[in-house]
Amino acid sequence: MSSENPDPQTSSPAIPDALPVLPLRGTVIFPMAVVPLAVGRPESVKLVDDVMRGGRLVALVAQRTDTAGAATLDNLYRVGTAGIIHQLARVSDGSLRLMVQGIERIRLLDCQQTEPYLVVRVTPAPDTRETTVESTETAALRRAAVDLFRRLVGLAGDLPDEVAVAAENLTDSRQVAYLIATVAPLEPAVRQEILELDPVEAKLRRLVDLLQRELAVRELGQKITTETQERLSKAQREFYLREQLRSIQTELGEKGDADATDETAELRRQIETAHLPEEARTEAERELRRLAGMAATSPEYGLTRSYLEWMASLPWTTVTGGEIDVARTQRVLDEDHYDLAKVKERILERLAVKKLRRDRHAEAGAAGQHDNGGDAPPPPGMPPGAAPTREPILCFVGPPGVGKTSLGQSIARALGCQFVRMALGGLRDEAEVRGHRRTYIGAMPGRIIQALRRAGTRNPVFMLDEIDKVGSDWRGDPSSALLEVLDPAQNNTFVDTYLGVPFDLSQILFIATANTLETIPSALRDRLEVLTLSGYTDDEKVRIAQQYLIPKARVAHGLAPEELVFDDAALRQMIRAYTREAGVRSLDREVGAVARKLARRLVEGRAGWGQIGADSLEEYLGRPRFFDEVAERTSQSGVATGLAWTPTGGDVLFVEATMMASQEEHLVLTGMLGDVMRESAQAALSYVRSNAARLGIAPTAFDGKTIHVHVPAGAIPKDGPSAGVTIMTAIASLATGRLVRGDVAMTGEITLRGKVLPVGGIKEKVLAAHRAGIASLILPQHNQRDVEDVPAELRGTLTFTFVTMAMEVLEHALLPFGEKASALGTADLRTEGSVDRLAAQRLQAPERHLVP
Amino acid sequence: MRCRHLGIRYTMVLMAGQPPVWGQEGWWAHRMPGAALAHSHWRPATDVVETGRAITVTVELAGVDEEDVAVLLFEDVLVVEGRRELPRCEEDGVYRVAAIRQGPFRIEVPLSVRIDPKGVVARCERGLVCVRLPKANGGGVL
Repeated sequence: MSSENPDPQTSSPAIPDALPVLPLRGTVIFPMAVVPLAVGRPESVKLVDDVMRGGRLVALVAQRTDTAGAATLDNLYRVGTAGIIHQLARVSDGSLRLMVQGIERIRLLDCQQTEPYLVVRVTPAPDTRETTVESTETAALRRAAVDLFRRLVGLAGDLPDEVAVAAENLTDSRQVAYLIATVAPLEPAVRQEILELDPVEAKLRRLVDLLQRELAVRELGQKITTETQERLSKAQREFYLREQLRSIQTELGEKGDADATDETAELRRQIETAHLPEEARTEAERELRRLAGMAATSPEYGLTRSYLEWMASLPWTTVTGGEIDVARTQRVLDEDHYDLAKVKERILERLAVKKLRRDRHAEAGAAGQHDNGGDAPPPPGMPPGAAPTREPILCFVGPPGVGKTSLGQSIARALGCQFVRMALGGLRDEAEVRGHRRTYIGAMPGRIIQALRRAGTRNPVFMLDEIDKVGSDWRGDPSSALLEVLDPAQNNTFVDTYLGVPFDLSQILFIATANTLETIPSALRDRLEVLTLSGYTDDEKVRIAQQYLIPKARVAHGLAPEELVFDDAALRQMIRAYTREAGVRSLDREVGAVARKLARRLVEGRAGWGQIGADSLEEYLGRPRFFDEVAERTSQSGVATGLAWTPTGGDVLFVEATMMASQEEHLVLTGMLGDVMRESAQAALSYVRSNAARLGIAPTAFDGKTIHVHVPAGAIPKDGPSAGVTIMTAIASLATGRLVRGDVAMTGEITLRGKVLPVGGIKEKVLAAHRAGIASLILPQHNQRDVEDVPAELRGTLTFTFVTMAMEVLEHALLPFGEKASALGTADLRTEGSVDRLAAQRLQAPERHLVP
Repeated sequence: MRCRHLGIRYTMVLMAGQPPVWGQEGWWAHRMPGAALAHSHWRPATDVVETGRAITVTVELAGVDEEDVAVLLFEDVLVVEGRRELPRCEEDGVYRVAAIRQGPFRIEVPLSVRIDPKGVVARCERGLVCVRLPKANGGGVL
């Protein structure tokens, strides 16, 4: 059958022995390739013209070098392609455009003629290849080459995708080799090498090698290009967007450059009128210059502008008041606050010192240096010279509601200064005090500087409220920042992190308040001048209510003076039965509650007005909220009344002890007691046991017993050694069966040898005992002096017993065996006022439940 | 003109192991100069017209002797091939333009319906070879 089929090979024109050579420059033509050629050299044109008349066959042979001269055999590769000229066109300059097609590989043998063109003897050199079936290796090579080629086409933008498709569709390895060699970007020398290689597998292998290298280079190149483009395009994009934003803003008329200039000018004016000290002025000028050269859209513009606004708005030189009139101050303080004699005295002393120093300094200053307004202090940054006036830092310590904050306000009023208050409770971040660096977006100066701007003066009364509640954690320790603020030696050059320039804080009268000194770091406590405000006695509270709270409530509730009148007994009852506090804050609320109810009655028109007495209180305030539980509690053996100090004033606490049989001896302690208190309880027990004989306790009383000591209220944590005597008394009472006197309360630390050691907080404890209706107190001998702090009128109503040994405590506290609590209890009762009558009733009541 | 009917499928026998003709010669020459491979046959211009009854194939073959044309009807393909040899120009003649392809040519027309081989008519007149291929009765689609 094959003989009948037209075979392309046999149908191709036969290749003669000799062929004219058309030398190729910079290209190689493979068999089967259809290639357009331009022929310009005269000898080549002549060659083509001659060939066209005959079989139209030429030898297409690449030149070794791109020389312009006539081709010689030496200058030609020895392998070329026999080709046929399909089409010809002559262009106007005499050169030819040909469409030639390679037919078969030929080998050049020798030269037959050189003039007018080269004619050589040739022999066909067809590629060696498997005639029938493609071997596995060849197929693998072909596919590898096609695959690489496809990837190359994908990467190279100058090759059309159809070439890859065509290569994939080819099944003949020779065609694949020649197609890829024609299309792939290869050097002519490499192409020639491919042409010369034999068999076809060698061509493919070489191509795979070349393609892989080309591909690696391309991929790397692509990667580099992509990365560079990304970098470039990001920067370009930003620039482009920024330009767009600017033009949008200009279109909207939002922020022209003209506005920015106006703004800068305005800021400059403000800065000039703010009387900045030298250093701050330099800094502000520098920032102003930067601002002027800045685009209004730049993010830094906003930062710089708000910085300058801050600089301009701070009270660098503004002062108010400052004229110190001690007499007037005393008057104001007395108007606002009852008693507190000691505290007021200290305040007035401080003011007097300040006045003296200021006056003396002003006299000295008037001689030479600058002076604006007589008593103005020297400007900050100036060397302190003789003696800069420095304010003391006062610290009011006391329970809530005793008037610490309002005392500060009174001082400000008396001095005619601004009053600023900064709550430090829960302050954790150092930056709150000192400010943030202004490089941060949203940065602000610290709270001190903010408060000063609010005050508008540089010498306000500055209250640091709740300084004992400053926290500290990883954000820094605000109390160390406060050290700088509060140290008179360095706060004249306080540098806020945001402002970056010193601001003089030395003219500020700092007043701190605290409920307790314990939690204030010692370095900070050293800088404070502590003034203690203890709680008020009932009598004091009655007077405070009459003189301050009730008039205030009248104004607040729109009542006429005669419409809201309390008698003293009513107030006493309110203090005793409706409030339990060291200060007067709850009392103020209760007075307000009565006033509200009264106001409503008046409005409803059903009011009979008149004095509010103790018996009508329930009508306004409901049932009493607090009772004196002391007597009830101590009507059994094993219960003793102790005294405790708390940050909110003193309090009474009860120690209960009981004993039960158990296999082992135990001491159980409950009521959220701290370690110190637990140890103190153990010491108390040991003392009682070791002195069993003296106390009339059977030596075996504790054998096989568990002793349980409980201190209500169980939910409140308690600690400290001062309950030692109370626990000891409770255990002794339990063991002896003797009751503890109901009207006695005690405090003091005990040792194992039975010594009673002094404890703190005596004044608060005495006040608490008084509030709780206690008549007699047992205190350590060494605390005798502290009792002098207690108001005299209260001292008169209480019996104090000072002891040095535990035995004395028991002598005073324990009733003789079998005696009932009430017998002595009533003897000492005070008889003034209705409250005391009630207390007396309550003290007598337990008699019915008494266990003989 | 030699006409033959071969009761075999062209693609099955003749295409195997033979280089298929891919792409018209120079079909992408405008995009990839110097990058086309082709057989050395040239492809004369051809019209194919189908009616309800027959398919008519007209091949433009000016200057070809009728004896030099072969028409081969396979089951699925009509092949027209042959050779064109134009007279040589004179000894001192120079081609200004040479655009008429010479040498072997071949066209392959794929057929999608069954042909009645008995009714095939091939004529050669005015430089055109015209082959009429009547569809077989109830000629199903191949």
